[in-house]
Amino acid sequence: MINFGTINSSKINLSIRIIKIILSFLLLVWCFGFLFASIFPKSGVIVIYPIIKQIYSVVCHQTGYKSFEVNGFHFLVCARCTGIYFGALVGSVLLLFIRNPINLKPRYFLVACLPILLDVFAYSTGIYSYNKIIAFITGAISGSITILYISNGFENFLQKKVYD
Amino acid sequence: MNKNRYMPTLVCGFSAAVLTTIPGIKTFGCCVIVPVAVWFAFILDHRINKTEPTISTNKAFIFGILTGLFAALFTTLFDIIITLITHSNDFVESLPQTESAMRSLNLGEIWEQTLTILKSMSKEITSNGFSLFYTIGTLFSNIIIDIIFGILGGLLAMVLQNKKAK
Repeated sequence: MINFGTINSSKINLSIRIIKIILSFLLLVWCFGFLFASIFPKSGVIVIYPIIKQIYSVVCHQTGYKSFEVNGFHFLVCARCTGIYFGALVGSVLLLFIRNPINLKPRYFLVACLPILLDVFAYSTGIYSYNKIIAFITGAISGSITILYISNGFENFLQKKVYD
Repeated sequence: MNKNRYMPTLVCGFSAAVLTTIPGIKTFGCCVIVPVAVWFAFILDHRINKTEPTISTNKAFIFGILTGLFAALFTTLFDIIITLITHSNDFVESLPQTESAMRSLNLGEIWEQTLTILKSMSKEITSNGFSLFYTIGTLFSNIIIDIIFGILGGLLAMVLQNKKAK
């Protein structure tokens, strides 16, 4: 006799693993996109730099003094966005090794976003001047937690699809 | 069919586009404007259409896609209007900096050809206030990026809202 519950469960687990790998890969590609000019400043692909810059301008203000600069090129997103995406990338890679479901509570997300809000408030009101490292760290904290929720959303979507 | 079903996505997509256009807001908002707009679309939907507080995955995807799409369309529209009036935009202003940075690398013929295209776009914008090539490029990048961020915002809002509703 075939146990459909076990088949469904293993199918879901496999699908979840695949989606986690795809998510990590896409994040890697996204991070590479805003770093590529700094990594390969003298390669031929650098000619598409203005086009890529235009694409990333949709999601970030790209202010020069708020962005990291390597090899004469600014990253195509600000330090905070760099932190968010790196945090998300690290979080997604770590998720690949976590098999048990994580108990996510809405307040964890709010707590993860709090450092960003505090940093924005502090430098906007002049408590301290803008610091790229602080922006990066606060972004990374938020990004690494946010990806857990997004991954959970994809898992819910897959589970629904498989059961339907 | 309920006419108001997707109205929240239109309203919130429009609002996101307005916020993106206002100088200074993007400095603070950055990549969170569209995902937050999707979240507000769910809240608006709950208030207007008296829907369940829980969000289904299909709804999260549809609301994310539609809010992102509307945000992209309105952002491009506002960008076109502002460029038409001012005969300038971020692309025109940042091109000289990009050019000087790239020139120092001595990239040769390929870069010169790329630069010719970019300069013709910049010239069209400064003289006519409109460049078809630039507009199409901006529209496509806005649509793709905003839809991706819209879906992510939708999923995030769904997980948070459903856990809160439990």
